[in-house]
Amino acid sequence: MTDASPDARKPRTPADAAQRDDFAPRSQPIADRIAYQRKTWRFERIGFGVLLVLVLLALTGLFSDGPLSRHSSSGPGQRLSVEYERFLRNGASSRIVLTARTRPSALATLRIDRALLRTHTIESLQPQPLFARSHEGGLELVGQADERGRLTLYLTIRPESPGLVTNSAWFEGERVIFSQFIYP
Amino acid sequence: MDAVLRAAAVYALLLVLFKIAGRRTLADISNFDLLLLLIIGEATQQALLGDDFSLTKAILVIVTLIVIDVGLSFLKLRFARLDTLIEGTSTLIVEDGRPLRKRLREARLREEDILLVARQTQGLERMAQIKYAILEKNGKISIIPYPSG
Repeated sequence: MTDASPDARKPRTPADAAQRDDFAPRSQPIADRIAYQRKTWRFERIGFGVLLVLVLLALTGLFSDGPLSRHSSSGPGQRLSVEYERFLRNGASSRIVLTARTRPSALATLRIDRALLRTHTIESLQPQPLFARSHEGGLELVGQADERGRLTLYLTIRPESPGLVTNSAWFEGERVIFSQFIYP
Repeated sequence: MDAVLRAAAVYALLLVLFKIAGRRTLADISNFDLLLLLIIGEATQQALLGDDFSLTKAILVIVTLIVIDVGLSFLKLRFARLDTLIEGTSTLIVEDGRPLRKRLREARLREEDILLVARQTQGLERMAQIKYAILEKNGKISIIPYPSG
């Protein structure tokens, strides 16, 4: 039994010369579509680049939980400030912290507009307000400030519908608008 | 509605992601790849079901996935271009004992990978014994040795 492998080099025919180019199309033993295949390979490389960028963006917080996402807004008089995540994911809990500055131990009335309540489920609200009522479809909360005149409310929210939502919070006529984008 | 949309979105997303990952990713499953697949499956499951663990939702999701899969296979039969787009093409990577190195590089393959398959499937020892090697659509490598005798 002889091994007919090209260890005993067989002479190359002229047609072989054209075949030396790795990217020239072949018809034996299969008709390959190397031009198309190279496009696929290029797609894989570009796609990998895109995925890499996505991972880096995710690290920055573009998809919630990160420096790009965490944000704090204050009203013009610095009496009300809101800490929130600019980017949320549908169904994933997040936190909003409302801080009102007023006279020591004074009663403070905070309002949250209906947009927040319509798009999120409020899972918890701490501390419990002294008084709460509905106000134009939103929520009006009354709490007592501490000795330094601060009242902080912690809300745990869970987004229920994707899209951009513009929320507002009021305190003593000062309005803070904060927008959140909810990913599906 | 939610179930169908979720299933369709996940199907499309996975199709594109595995297209990017390349066909070799799923062809030779090592222990680690298996682990990776399990984790991908776990992550996907959350997106598919959300917080709805009802039997109805599970059935809807499964039915949608099967409908898309079977529907796509009909379309692939009907439109050859779609088939090439999704399944890819077979590519020659060794010709007359000579590895086509440029192709290998773009396919993220090494000559060792070919030799490994040659040993496993044909009991060949050297590249020179391989007449043709083909990277198939499914990511596997076929080895055609020189006819002996």
